[in-house]
Amino acid sequence: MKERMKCPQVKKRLTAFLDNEVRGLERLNISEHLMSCVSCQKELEELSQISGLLDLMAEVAVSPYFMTRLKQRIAEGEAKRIFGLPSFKWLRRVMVPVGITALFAISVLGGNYLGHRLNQRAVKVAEMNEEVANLTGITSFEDFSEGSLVDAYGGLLSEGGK
Amino acid sequence: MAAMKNFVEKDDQDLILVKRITAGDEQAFEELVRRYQHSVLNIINRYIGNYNEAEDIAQEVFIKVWRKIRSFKGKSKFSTWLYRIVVNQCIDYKRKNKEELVSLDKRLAEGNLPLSLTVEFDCAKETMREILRKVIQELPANQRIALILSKFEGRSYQAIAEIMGISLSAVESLIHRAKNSLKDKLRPLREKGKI
Repeated sequence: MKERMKCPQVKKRLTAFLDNEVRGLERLNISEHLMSCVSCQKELEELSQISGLLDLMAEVAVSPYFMTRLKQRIAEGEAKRIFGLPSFKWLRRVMVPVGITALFAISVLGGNYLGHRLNQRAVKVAEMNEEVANLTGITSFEDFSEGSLVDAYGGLLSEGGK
Repeated sequence: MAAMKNFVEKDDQDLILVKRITAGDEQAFEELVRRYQHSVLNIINRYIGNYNEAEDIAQEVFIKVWRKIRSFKGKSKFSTWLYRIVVNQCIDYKRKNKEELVSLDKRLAEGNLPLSLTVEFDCAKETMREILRKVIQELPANQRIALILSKFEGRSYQAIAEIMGISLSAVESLIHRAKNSLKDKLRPLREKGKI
């Protein structure tokens, strides 16, 4: 016949005993010991009391927005993950200097083009002036000779104004 | 469909959902979340003792599930795999947010308990819950996890051993020490006949 269990052995197994994790012959031996041991009975009672107290800890309910928020977080995470991929990191690292260089090139080329266009316009105006001068013999509005048609027209205009 | 579910084991239903999720079925993922959200949230809430943060961590758990579902090979139950993620998230959270937990015994000795705990230890349920929440928070992480899974989730010692990756005897020892620790911390109440 198996020797009866001692208090330290029993006390060590009491939590498992209460949780129905001890079965068969061992359970029977512990039960037998408990029938005659006040100290172990007290220990069992205290442990059982703790279990009862823990039952007071109410459960919390899941918020109705739990699923909506979860889906939103997953979507945000996926987007972040895609743009955080090594290829995208490499692209970002390259894109910044490339962008700055492109901007600089556009400003230089644009400035150059604009300057060229303005210059062309000035040349064209000068050419037109020269052409007019060649045709009329007038190089400047102060060059009207006395008694010329333009001078007479000017005189008529100033008289009419009086 | 609902009637059919009654004939299929819960674990098998999980596996069917996992299969659908890996095939890109978002509806299946929603169903899986709804199955476990209550339990996951309650484990975390009991572990860290703060509802808002618990909800945040519970969502992180499911985000991990969504991302890593393909790594679940079905060698264990889905629930074991899921609770392993929950346990790791809880332990990670505490590691990142090392809060200074002043022991209840010390606070009792110094007489600087928050108002809710100084009502002469009356055993109004709310006060008792607050005291329990505090004493559970003071347990070492492993003891706390094992106790929560056993006491509140009704998991067997064997299931807890699989979730935590430890031996059966280690689980028994953790739960035994946790309960003894609670017993010692609550002794003043018992001696005053408040519980």
